[in-house]
Amino acid sequence: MKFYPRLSQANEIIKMTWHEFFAYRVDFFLKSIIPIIVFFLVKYFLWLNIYTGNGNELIKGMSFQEMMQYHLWVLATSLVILGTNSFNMAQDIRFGKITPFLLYPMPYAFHQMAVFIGQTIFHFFVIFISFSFLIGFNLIDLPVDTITLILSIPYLLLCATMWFIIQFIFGAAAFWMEETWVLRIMFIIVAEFLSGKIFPLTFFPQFFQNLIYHLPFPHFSYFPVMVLMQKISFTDLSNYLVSLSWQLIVLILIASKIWRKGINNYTAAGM
Amino acid sequence: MEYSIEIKNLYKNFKSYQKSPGFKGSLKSLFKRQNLIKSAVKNFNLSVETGEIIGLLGPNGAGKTTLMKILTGIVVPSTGELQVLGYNPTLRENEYKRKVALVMGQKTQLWWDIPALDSFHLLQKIYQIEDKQFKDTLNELTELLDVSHVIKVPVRKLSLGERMKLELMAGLLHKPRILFLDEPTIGLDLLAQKNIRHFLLDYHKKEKTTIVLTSHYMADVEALCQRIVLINNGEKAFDGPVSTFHQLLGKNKNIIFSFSSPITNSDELKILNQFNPSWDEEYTQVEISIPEEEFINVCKNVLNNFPVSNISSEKTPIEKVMQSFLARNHS
Repeated sequence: MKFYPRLSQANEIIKMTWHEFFAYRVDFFLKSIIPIIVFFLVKYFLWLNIYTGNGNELIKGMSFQEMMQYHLWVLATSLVILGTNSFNMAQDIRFGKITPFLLYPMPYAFHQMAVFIGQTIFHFFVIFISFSFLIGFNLIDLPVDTITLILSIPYLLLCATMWFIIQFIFGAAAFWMEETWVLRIMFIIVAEFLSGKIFPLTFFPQFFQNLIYHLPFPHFSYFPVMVLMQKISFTDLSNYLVSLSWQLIVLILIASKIWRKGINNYTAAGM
Repeated sequence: MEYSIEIKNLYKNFKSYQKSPGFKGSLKSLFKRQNLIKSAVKNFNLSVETGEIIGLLGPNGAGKTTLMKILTGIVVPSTGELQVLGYNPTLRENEYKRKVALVMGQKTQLWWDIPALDSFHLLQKIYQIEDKQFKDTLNELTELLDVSHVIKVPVRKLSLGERMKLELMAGLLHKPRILFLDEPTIGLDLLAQKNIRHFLLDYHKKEKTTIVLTSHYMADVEALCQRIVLINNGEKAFDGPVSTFHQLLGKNKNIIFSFSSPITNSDELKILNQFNPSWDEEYTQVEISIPEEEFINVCKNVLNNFPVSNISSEKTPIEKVMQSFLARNHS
């Protein structure tokens, strides 16, 4: 496989993904601002009430302000890490929409990955612009350390790759199962809790924290947020990177085996 | 003789399951399902010469699209030998994929929300087409298909005919050596169908591309194909030139008589009954199939005894030949 053609293919797919984003102007603005509005409406008022009811005392060592900073980073990291394009993969398999991709001299997973990267870069800019605006006008209080931010990018990319691979595996289940959405929704609900997206993982008992720290889930929210909030040392971060890399290798091998088996089951329905 | 496609003893079985109707059936199927094995392609043999245009014909579910999927490497056959341009499509090698194209009337490979030109640029990168070749082919196809005014319009805004032309362009940009066409004119109006056919004939004349076509429109097959392969229940029922296919039902001629008043007299009707008549609802028009040697006498007889207002004669339409042939084989 030559590297340069693959690079130019990825570049073209990413451009197409962006063209698609801009094709629907209303949809584009809704995608950009809705997550931030939801954040303020739901999480802000929810935690405000919890803290007010608690006499504005610290909860698990976190003040209201720190909790809000935590959730702002959760919002930012989930838009970058938790892409949604492979959600459609199961539907594409079920209704035979992957057929054209199987005819191209380019792996389907490569196409999906390039779309995922396109979405991730797009979301990164949405977050960058909207957060700059909110911080610039003193609407939110979010300390940002530029060096930490730059150093955390490779880690965030690995976390995003992990999410993509897991979603790919769930999507590929459609080669055998007629409906995979229940499976996917169950996974997302579990992931929301165990990743620290709903509340910090320190809210769980210590033994449970020790258990889930060895699973992929904390890499989707909690660890990246802790890195960006500078609450994790570089030693811890390197440990997380090693464990994440191993998990990623295992998951890539599983995904590749499932794809190879699944594609031989493919019937290209509806063609 | 050089062959582009060679198939020997090919089989493809699909597994599905049966469920009894109603709530009880649904509940039962949760625990026990009756598996069904359906043979979509059975003991299939076929050779296609390089540069040939062949039409795969057959009723719905006959196995023609499955065969197309196998030939393009989308679906893996159960058993059998298969060589396309010297490659085994099942291996899905990139070199093979660069030499074939599949254009589907019911599936799009163009990105729906953006102009087709953007999809073409992506295809250029996917197939690694040199800039000059890409520009030349694009200009040539744009001119041949007369699509310069729609190439920059989002695909979702185009008519079906325009979209189909662009689908063909997308399939031909990398100059495939074999073009698989699955129902390329489905849903198109007569003029658009004719345009697509003309384009394909011109393109074939120029590029000598091997074309394998499936279509429900017999006009496509008659206009484009030199050879017909009839598939029924996964098996090959006929393989030969279109002219031979017309003669399958014997040397009969089809003739349509129109009458100025309805024919209701039973004696009059009896005269025509021996020729397998097909009457309209008002009994003012009949189509009969007459053996060639009796043609003149029967016509004279009808003209003398019936109030004939119009006559038209044509060779048996290909769909009629197919229907009769399949019915005859079935019985």
